[in-house]
Amino acid sequence: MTRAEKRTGGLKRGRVLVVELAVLLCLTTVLARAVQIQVLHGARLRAMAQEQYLKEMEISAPRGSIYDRNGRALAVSVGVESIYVNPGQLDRSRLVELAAATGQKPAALQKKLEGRKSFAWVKRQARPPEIEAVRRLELPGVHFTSESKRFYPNRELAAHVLGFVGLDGAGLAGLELKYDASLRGRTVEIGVLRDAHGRPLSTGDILPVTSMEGDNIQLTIDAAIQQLVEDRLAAAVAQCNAASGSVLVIEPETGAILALANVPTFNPNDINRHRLAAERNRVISDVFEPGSTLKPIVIAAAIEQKVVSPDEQIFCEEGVIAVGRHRIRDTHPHGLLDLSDIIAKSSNIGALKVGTRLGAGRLHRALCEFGFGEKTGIELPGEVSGMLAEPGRWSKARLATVSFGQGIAVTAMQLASAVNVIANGGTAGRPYLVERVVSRDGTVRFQHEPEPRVVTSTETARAVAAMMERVVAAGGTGTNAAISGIRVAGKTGTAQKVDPVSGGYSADKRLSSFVGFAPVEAPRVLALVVIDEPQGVTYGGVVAAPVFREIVRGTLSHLGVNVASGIETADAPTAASTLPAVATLELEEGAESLVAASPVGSDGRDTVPDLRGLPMRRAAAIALATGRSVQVEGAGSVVEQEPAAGTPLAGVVEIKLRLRRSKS
Amino acid sequence: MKARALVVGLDKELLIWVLLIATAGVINLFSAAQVARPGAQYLQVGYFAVGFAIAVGIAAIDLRWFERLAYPAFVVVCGLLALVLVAGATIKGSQRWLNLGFFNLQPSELMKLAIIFSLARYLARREEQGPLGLLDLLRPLNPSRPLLLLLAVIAKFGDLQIAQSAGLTWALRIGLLLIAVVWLAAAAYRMQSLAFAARTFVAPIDLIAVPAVLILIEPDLGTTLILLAIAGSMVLYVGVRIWSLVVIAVVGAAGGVAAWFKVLKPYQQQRILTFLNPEADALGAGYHANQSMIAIGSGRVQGKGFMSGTQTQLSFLPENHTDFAFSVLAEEWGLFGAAVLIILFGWLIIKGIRVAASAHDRFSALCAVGVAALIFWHVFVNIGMVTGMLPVVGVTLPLMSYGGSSVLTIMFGVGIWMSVSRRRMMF
Repeated sequence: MTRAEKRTGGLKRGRVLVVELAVLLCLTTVLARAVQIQVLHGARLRAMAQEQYLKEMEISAPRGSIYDRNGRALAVSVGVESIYVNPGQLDRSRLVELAAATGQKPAALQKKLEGRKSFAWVKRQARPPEIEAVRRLELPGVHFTSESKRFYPNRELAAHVLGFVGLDGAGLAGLELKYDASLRGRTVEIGVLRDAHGRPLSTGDILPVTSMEGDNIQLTIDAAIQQLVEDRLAAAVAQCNAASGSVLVIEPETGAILALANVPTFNPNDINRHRLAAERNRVISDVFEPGSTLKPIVIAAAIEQKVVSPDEQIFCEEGVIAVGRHRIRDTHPHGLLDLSDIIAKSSNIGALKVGTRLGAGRLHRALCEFGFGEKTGIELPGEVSGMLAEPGRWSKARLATVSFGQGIAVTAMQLASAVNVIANGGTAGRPYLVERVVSRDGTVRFQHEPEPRVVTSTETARAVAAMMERVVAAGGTGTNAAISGIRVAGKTGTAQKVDPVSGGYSADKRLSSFVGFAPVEAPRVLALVVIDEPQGVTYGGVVAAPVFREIVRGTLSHLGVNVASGIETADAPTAASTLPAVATLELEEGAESLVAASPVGSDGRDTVPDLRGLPMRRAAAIALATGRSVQVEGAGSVVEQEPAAGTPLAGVVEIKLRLRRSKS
Repeated sequence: MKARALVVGLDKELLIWVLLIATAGVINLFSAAQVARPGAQYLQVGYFAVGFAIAVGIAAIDLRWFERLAYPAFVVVCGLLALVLVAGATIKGSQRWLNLGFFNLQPSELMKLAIIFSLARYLARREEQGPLGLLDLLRPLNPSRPLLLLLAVIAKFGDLQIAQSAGLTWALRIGLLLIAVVWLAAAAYRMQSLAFAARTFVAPIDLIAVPAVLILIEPDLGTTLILLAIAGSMVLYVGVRIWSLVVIAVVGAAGGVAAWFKVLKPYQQQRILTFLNPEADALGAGYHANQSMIAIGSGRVQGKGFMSGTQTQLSFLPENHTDFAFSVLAEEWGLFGAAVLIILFGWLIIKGIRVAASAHDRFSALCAVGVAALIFWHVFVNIGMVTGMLPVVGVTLPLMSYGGSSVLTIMFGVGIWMSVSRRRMMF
């Protein structure tokens, strides 16, 4: 070995240099690659990185609440937990456990996960025990998220007014649908850091949500009156085994709807448990022939047009009259009747004579002015305009029958609105439900403005009202509607129903109704009661008038009108007519006295109530009555609350309740 | 030997440079292991403590001891590799570890050292001068050829699933074990006791092929390739005849094609396909490479800051504390950090080659070259794969990746360097 070779372990120096150069070359290549990636492609790759970790998340603010006229919560949003899963991370062998914990069949759950790569709902809006059970399983890939759930604390109350929302929180019926845009919380897309498993990292500090919350709506509905109406209507429909029934209660002066009810009804908290027909808001979607209840309108129009004078007498042909090829009869033969008798005794012949004097053109125009033939414009979806044929196509017989309410189809809303013109001294106020819409920060976005429209003179209205008063007086058809100590005006209706098969009038199917208002001198309430297909006695004066009486009396008493109590009219058909029911109204199991703070025009003096120890429903109902959103965790009774009782409500956005089941 | 004697004559420059990289590695682990394996950095510090102790200890030993023990050690490690196939712990589908209770021993790591010693010994004791020829490397008439044939058969049926379905698993495993142990023990014994010229029994091909096949069927493609690269580097350092080189290249290419169809597992094939076009399957097989490139690239020149790498901290980057440690560094420290690390490694490897060049004897020189090759190929393949230049084959980045086996192997190598360096002046 040469000396040089010895120095390099027997290798030539040149080789060492070559090796060093090779190493440097390789590492330079690597470094060049780093430069290529980090400098040349840096911007593009950083954008790709952001695309991965910055997830655009939709943050939905809670839906606005709906309150009655006194600020009682009718529809609110509460936070409810939903369970979702990353199917890729779920241990499929434990699918059965997960299904059992959420009360589903394994096959059903399996189906939900099929074809989903990183996200599938296990159960939306799960119940607290289910959440608890799933948490205990500690399954990887199973996550929880808080979703906003619509909660109707008073269950069926005003269901047809409120409507309901779907699982995704969109309004599907009623005001929830009509005012969806206002109620819906604004949805904001924000960038959230998320990790490789798709979990968002921080959502806590995103919340200026208040400004994005949906608007609150205050209704004209009075929950107490609504409850009374629903109770009485349900009782009446059950009692006479009717197919359905509707009631509308209006404040005559303004047209504000105090109560609107239909039977059958439904619980908007649980929209999968009733037949579709129960969702039908018959007050605005069903039409019927008004029958005799139209007579006051016809007579008012005739007086207004001066084709009759209020004190004129009409010969009623002793019960039968021929119109063209038809014969028209009264139920009882009458001779000379004055106008009030025509209404009180409900003479078809009298009404048709008055109507014939008006003639088709003027009668049609009058009916239009009273609001028939077109939608009232009530703030609910699904309103129909009824049927009012053009006068040019009216036969003589049609003119005659329309005069006593046949051959014309109206909605209950139209009829009540028309009669309200008489109650309100000849001025029509459009019926309405929404008093105001207020944003979360207190800005009034909408305030109802009355648009009074004169339809008849005050004198005409007064005169007809006086005639209608005779309906409930002795000898009238509506004596069952009389309330002692209060002057009541009204009109009965018993219309034959059109048989859908034959196209003619049905032999036995009737639609009984009563519409009226009180007190006559200064009406505070107008009510229309419609009972569809009552069995047995079908006269409106027997079927509908007692319901009317109880509703009106209860409403007046609630409104502070001095109603003489304890004295029942002799022929009161039902026993249950004690009225102070409104005072101890129970909206929900045990949740009495919710006459609480309204956030709509709220006052700062209220404090957070002490809810500890109360059962869930009751605590939630009280908490909700404060108008704050409520977060419930667990089940049973309240063991902790946040903020503590006594904290001024002014700064509180949310009340958190932790519940636990007592061991008993 | 007194404590002072341990320290005197240590190549402090080498030691400081290793310490620098190791420190960078531990700091990087604070961030990289935060999500996947919190606290790993402290364990790593422990491994380094042991590692430095080993390095200093090795530096104190004359390498001639290792020369004497090279072949027996090689045989023992081959035995361990065979044992892994029979009784190894299976992690993520690969049977690579022997569970020693307190430590998961990876014999393939030991083999990296064993092959350096064995090959160094073989090449150092060659009688002929000049470059190696094909015949020198293969020695086709050696009595050991039947063993290689047997190994080739095993490699073909190495897929244990196939073996199992054929009902051959245990027969195969035990057969392999018996033949390997008996034959290798006998060989070692004869070589030791009879001063039998080693080359009549073994050729470089035996020293390379036996462990390579055993590791390949674990399966562990990355380590197999590293092993081949180390051995190739050492052989090339000694020199190979040009025509032999051409033949090896041609046969190697043909062998590669054959291996693709006969030896590589589907997932290994997939990795290579993915390497050729990583974005074609960014969520599937290309995920690792793609995420790594996104992490590195998004760090840009200045980096995102320590502990602030989004791809690392949000778990987009896989295996970020082991194989993808470089990506974490490059994401958080930018091109600046990446360049500094590459330069540190470059300097370290050049320093190792200089140590080899100044070695006292051929064996020491070849050992130092082997260690330089070990570190170089690890660095090159690892950074190459995380930057998308090479397929993802699971090779750690020396001193940066978390893991006891890796740290101890590298520190052992550093010890060899220091031992060679210490004795470079002894003529």
